[in-house]
Amino acid sequence: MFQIALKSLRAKWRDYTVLFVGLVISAAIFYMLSAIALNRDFLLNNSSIGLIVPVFMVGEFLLGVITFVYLNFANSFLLRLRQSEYGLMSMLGAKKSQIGDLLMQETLALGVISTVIGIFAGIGLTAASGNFLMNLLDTKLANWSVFSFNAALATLVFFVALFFINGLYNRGRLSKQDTLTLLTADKQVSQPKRHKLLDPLLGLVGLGLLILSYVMMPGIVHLGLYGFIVVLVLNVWGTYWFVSRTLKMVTYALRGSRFNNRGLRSFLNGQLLFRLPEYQRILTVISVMFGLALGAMSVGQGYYRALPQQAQSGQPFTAAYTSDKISTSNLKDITWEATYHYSVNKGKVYFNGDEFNEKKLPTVVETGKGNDTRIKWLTGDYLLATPGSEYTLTSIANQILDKQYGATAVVTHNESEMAVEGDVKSVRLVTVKSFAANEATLTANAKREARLTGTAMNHQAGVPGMFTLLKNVFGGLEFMGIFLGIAFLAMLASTLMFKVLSGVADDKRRYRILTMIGTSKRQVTATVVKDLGVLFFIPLVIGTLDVIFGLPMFKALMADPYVGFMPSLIAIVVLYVIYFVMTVILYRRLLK
Amino acid sequence: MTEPVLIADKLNKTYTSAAGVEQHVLKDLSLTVPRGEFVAIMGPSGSGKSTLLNILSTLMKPTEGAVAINNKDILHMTDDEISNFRGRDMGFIFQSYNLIESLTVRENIALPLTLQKAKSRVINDAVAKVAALLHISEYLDKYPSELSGGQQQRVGAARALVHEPALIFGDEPTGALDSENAREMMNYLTTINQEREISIVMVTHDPFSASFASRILFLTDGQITKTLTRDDRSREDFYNYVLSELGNFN
Repeated sequence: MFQIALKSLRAKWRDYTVLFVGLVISAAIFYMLSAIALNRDFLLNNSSIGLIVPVFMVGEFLLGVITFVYLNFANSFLLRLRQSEYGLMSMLGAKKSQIGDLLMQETLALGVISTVIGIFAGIGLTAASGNFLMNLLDTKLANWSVFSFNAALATLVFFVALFFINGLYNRGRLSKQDTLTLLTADKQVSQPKRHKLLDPLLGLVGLGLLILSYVMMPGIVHLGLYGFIVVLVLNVWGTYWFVSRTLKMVTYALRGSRFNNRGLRSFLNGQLLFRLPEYQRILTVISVMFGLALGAMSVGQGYYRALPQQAQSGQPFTAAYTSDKISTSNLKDITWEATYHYSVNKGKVYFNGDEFNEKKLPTVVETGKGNDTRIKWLTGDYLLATPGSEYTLTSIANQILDKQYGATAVVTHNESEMAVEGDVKSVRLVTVKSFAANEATLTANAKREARLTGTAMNHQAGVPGMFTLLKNVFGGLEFMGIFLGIAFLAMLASTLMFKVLSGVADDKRRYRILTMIGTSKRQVTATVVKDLGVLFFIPLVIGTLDVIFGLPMFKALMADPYVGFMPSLIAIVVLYVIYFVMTVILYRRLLK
Repeated sequence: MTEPVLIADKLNKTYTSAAGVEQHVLKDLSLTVPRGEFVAIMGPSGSGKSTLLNILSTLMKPTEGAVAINNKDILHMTDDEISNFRGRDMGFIFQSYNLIESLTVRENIALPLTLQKAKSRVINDAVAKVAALLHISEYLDKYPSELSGGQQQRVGAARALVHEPALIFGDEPTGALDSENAREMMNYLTTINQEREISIVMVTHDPFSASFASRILFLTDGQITKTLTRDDRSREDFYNYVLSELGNFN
């Protein structure tokens, strides 16, 4: 029996390679996400959101779900590869229990070997992607660790458990099939059934559920955890019915039409129709995963991209310089500039109130209409008469004392009162019309100020300082969003890719017949592109719609949840298209 | 003399094994098939009959030699030209039917015409005509898996015929059929050959099927070693003649 198994492995090495590589990649991606999700210190130290740990646990759970789906179909594929050999063994007198044991051993051996290799590949992947992203985002993250014993253990236990469950399931399925069915397993095809009433009905119900889930999404914060689960169920169920029934109805409607009587359209249509029973569930899961990947990346990027605006919104001036070696002449469109004097004594910074009477100090106040703010100009008299108003000078005092927060600013009546406290120095405040137009110069100036005075960039008053501070806080969140998005995308695209490639044996025969009756290589390639294109296109459209309607869920956390959407969509589509092209190339090679 | 539809000249085919051992499968084999002739090729396993059929039908290239079909040199065509040629001038009937199970019978038969981008009306007419000829009109909207072996082979024949090629190649077309269905299939092929003047080149190991042809070529070690012609004999007489000659041949 072992020899037959070995011969089968040799004969079908291409199929086994596809299966094996797919399993290694899924284990590697699972490890990659686990390495972050199980690293509490990393998550808490690099995110301002307390919910980040549960968010990653949900991410891990969802990746677990798709891994389960993937392993399920991978093991069905393994069973299908081996069925006719099992039939032969049965013909030769092997007992069902013996064959069942063999299947179980093969499944577990494949599972353990691919998972162990996958964990090592995952460590490499985590190191490579982590370093790449940190360089790209120009950020260093605390507690970042490439190797995680917990992640390796979680991956191994999860995968081996799933393989064990799948092995038991396959063994059960095998014991129910008679020898003849096993022997002719290669020649059996599944045929989709047409329901003239039920198909349009369920298609419409599916569309209704999908729309309902979109309507509920913006208000999900008020619905709580149960609301989230209801929306998820409605979305998944709606996608499943809508996609499967619509695709079936369209392909049936095209069948027998004039449209079908041209080139290889009838063949393409037939391919899609016959793929449906096998693909409808996986396309639904992949659509939802696509939405999650794009959503994670959009939210992460959204936070990051909103930073310049956020950094500017609370600042009464653009920058403050205590070093007189920094020139402001290279800044564009300066709208206000003033120099003030100060002295430092026992951890307090003293300012001259007379100077503020001459050159008023800007501060930010709320207008009372929502979150709108405006600039108010303060005199020295006002600052002295209004206790607490000196808070506006605190950010400048923090910069002078190189503190993140907690510096004390004191306004004195005149220059002599200030000079008593210590050496008099000066600080220049400047406001420019556009931060974006001056970003490079302002950043360079802030770096220079840091070098000349020893004040860290994130301790500096004004926009560049606040921007640096926010970048430190939210940079981790962007990193996690992109990381989560890439992990989801890699997993879903790999699942679809290997699902397609594992079915190539069935398609090979059909394409060979086409070649024999006069189909050119170019026509075959064009048909493959269209055939696989439809499979890749559906999750792209549904997943993108999910995100378009789902992003308002984050309105409570972000002013504009769509700010990171387009760049994320472009990045994800580029990666997805690369996967698609790779699939077409590999598929075309396997067809030969 | 009728104009030849197929000319094969001094075909040689050599396979080299991984160990570097050369095996000559075809040796200087020449063959001419006039338009409208029905030729059967017989021979023991390993005699080269499948290799010959693969070369004649553009699926394989010979090591040496030339093949022309309808005055076209088929060995020096580009991939696209070969595809066009297969789609217009040739039909195939396979032992294992080779129908596409995801397509209905109608779509399977129509494939060569849809590939040529023929008009819908032309396709529908041609499919109806050929289905009537092969008595499969009632199965047009079924899937191949819903048909018996004999019915599937008739669908295969209909697909080979629908675009009215100059030549049909058959690779053991009755190999998977019982005797009743094999007889029926051969009767259809004879009708196609006689009524439409389509030439047929068929490889078979079965003397009964071969007796429907007008000429039988026997291959041994890559060479034609015997030729039997039907002349004025009835099909039954030719069958007996083939059987007696086969005894001598073996």
